[in-house]
Amino acid sequence: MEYENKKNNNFLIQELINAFNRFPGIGPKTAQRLAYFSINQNYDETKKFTEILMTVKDQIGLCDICQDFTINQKCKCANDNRDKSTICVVEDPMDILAIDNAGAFNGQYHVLHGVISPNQGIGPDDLKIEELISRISQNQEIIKEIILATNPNLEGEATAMYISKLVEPYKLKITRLARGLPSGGDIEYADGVTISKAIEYRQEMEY
Amino acid sequence: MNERRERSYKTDAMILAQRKFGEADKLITILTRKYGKKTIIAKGILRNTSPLVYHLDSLNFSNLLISRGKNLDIVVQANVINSFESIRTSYGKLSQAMYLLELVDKFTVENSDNHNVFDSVVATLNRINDNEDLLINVRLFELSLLKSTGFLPEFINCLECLKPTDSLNSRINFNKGGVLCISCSGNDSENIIISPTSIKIIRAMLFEKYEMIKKIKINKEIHQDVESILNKFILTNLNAPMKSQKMLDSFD
Repeated sequence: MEYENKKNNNFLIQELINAFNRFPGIGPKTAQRLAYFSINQNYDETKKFTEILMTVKDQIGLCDICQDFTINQKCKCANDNRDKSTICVVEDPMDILAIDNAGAFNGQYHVLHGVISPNQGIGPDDLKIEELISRISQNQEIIKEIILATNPNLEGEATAMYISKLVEPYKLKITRLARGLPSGGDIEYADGVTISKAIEYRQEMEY
Repeated sequence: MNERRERSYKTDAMILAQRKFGEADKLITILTRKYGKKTIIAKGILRNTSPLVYHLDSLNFSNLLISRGKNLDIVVQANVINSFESIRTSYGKLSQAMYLLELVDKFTVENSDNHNVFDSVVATLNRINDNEDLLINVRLFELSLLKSTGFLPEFINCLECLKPTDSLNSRINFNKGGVLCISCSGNDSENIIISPTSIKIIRAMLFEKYEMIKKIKINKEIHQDVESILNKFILTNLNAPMKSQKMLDSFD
């Protein structure tokens, strides 16, 4: 093992702190706290933690079809109870959790793993757009609608527009998630664009 | 009073980019007239209740109240001045605007004020938003950015003999960064023939006023030639590909 012969306490602890510090959103102080917590934690708990971490790393990969994280290729897109005619295109796997938890959608997903953001060095080639287009071209008879569920910000809109241009030749129904007032929100505090979108996409009330 | 001692400051800023940071925060890259390019933190912006979210979207021109932090300055209040809605709803304009933001980000360094770049990007986005000629404005911006960051190639005098070159008989060398006259260009394969119209157009863009330039009728071939010349100079200086290029290509 790389660290077995390192007898210096400070070196080992510092290496552990550095390892935690590499996680997103973990600063040096939090890394220190996590490192000392791990040292104080009992042996079984730590073993369980490292085992699950390694199992996840070994077994989870990307689904060939929807590009979501999946264990041994058994993904929810193989589930026959889900509507195969609608594909909801999302930025991250975490968006799938949010949409599924809302319980309003029973179609299939496609994960892009990011959005076009040139200033962060992410172009269309760095995303799973090519996989989406080949999925559509291989299942033209089945797929009827593409829902572009990228975030309603500049990068999300640009990605949605770019994909819609590529999907256009397949003559599918291309939709974008509605924009408007959030549930429990207050019109007085909403910004101008949100209000104008809410008015633009207003719905007729059903009696 | 020394402004550095003030705990907070107000500034107008172009929002260039943003990325998620921590649980609900974002790091926002802004370009300001006075403070140059800066990275600031917007706390809690990912929560649905954050009043900042709309005002700090990329491509917005916003007025910000920023509090000085130990490491990063924190945005406290934001108010959008112009969100360039006409750009956001047109793929052609949006892809060009993203290209402009990428250029600004790549050609500027943090905490170094360059008011020419700021004025130029705001003016260009305003013109694009107001449906003025999209492609001419992008070319003008490229030249203005190269000029204000010190990367402008030599388009008037020969790089070797320093005498003004004749537009009818000029060669261009991308690695040397400018034009050469026929007698200095020799047989070097890097010296490429440049169209007399293209060089005249580039010179006009550099020295004429905008009102004059927008009256010039430029056909598609000449425009593509000017675009490819400026593009090659930009890529030679950056030494890296432009990520927004593919979006621009699909617009064509």
